[in-house]
Amino acid sequence: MPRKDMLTDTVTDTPADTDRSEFASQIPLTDTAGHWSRHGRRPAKRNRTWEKKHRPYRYVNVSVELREQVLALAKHLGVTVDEVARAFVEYGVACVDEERLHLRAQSNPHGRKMTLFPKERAKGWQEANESPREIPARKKKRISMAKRVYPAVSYRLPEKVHDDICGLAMDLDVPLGEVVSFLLQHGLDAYRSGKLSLQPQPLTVKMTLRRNLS
Amino acid sequence: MTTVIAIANQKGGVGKTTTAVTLAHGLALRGKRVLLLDFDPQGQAARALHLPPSSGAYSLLTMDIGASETAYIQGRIISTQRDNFWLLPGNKQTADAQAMINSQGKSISWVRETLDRFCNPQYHYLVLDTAPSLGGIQERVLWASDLVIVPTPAEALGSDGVRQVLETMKRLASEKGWKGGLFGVLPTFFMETVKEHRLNLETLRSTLGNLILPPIHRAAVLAECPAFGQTIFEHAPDSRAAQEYSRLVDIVLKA
Repeated sequence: MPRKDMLTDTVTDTPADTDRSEFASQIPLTDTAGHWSRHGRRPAKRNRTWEKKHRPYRYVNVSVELREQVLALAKHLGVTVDEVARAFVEYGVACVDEERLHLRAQSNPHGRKMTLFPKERAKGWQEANESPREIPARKKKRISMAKRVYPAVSYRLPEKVHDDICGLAMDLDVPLGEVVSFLLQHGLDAYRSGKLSLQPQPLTVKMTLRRNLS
Repeated sequence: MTTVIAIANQKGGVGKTTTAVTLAHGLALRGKRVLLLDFDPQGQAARALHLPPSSGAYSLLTMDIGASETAYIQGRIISTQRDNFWLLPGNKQTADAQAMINSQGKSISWVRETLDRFCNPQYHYLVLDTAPSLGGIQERVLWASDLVIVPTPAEALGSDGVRQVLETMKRLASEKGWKGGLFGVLPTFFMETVKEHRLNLETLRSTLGNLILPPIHRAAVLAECPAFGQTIFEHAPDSRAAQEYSRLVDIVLKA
């Protein structure tokens, strides 16, 4: 039996749809009327506020092998790699503070460069009476792709942890990546030897509905 | 900028007061400063919160727009004992204001003019609860609003009430230069298990599309609220009704 639509004052048996009819087109609407509907709405832009507040710190010259080991351990424990890195750095810094770990800096042979100065010490140039010589042509330096890419890691660490890394690097006058590499390696060694225990704890971040079967 | 929201339907018993009180409190809970104005001569907005009805709305509608009158009317506004939520109550004297407005030949913009004294940073929202009738006040209240929400039960006679109020709105826009508009039709007392309700909701959606807001289901806790002088957010904050009204608040906040 057809039903009477009291809204439009018409008899109808047409199935419902979600578009507005001609009747609705004559109604004065607010600009935002119907905006709540999910029909035809663009997906909401992802909110990146948390990411902006917690930017990762990047440390260069941390070897790929070391990075992979930390990543594998994080996967094994079911936590993020940032948390494992943080645990290792905090553990390493605590060891340094308690003088159970001694960091000593020494000159890096790969970081050496040649110089002619200062004149008094290096005696880089002086008058001489030697035989004539040729200056060899400059060799074009070819850097392989592997060497062009600096191995690096990025971890979201608390600012204090990063500051601790910076403090150690400044005290020892070494790059940040060296300190991070050292502390990660120290943490991995301690974990392997059983001196350091990592025990992930459950943290509820999402709730779900439970069916009550009783 | 203050947004004026009218809750209107010429049909009675559709949940206007419940919606007005709940929406106002929901907005206040989100940190918005809200003034609820009761233009219904039954004065039930105050009753619902266990506050005394008074002739605040009558004073607002009948007094001139001067500094001393404004100060007097400000004094009629009462705190609901909730953060950010105030009420200008009404009572049966509100009905007398209609005769005065008509006899004085007040323009269609009169209510808006008298409300403009509250349209300042003191309030983010003015929520207007209206009477289930069509008269001088109700038309002027509609004209004063920026957004209109029309609660209606998902029944045939409810749709008839919606049609009447929409026709009034069309007329106000075409003949009186009203700048506001319909924000949405809010199905109330909805029961999915009742075929008639489902069919009526489908019919409303087929005509108005996404102007039909998510329905508020019939709930005993909503009926209990006035007995306790609480809103649903206080009486049963975890109930489906609270979630549904909370969603309405979200939608209004995005407007």
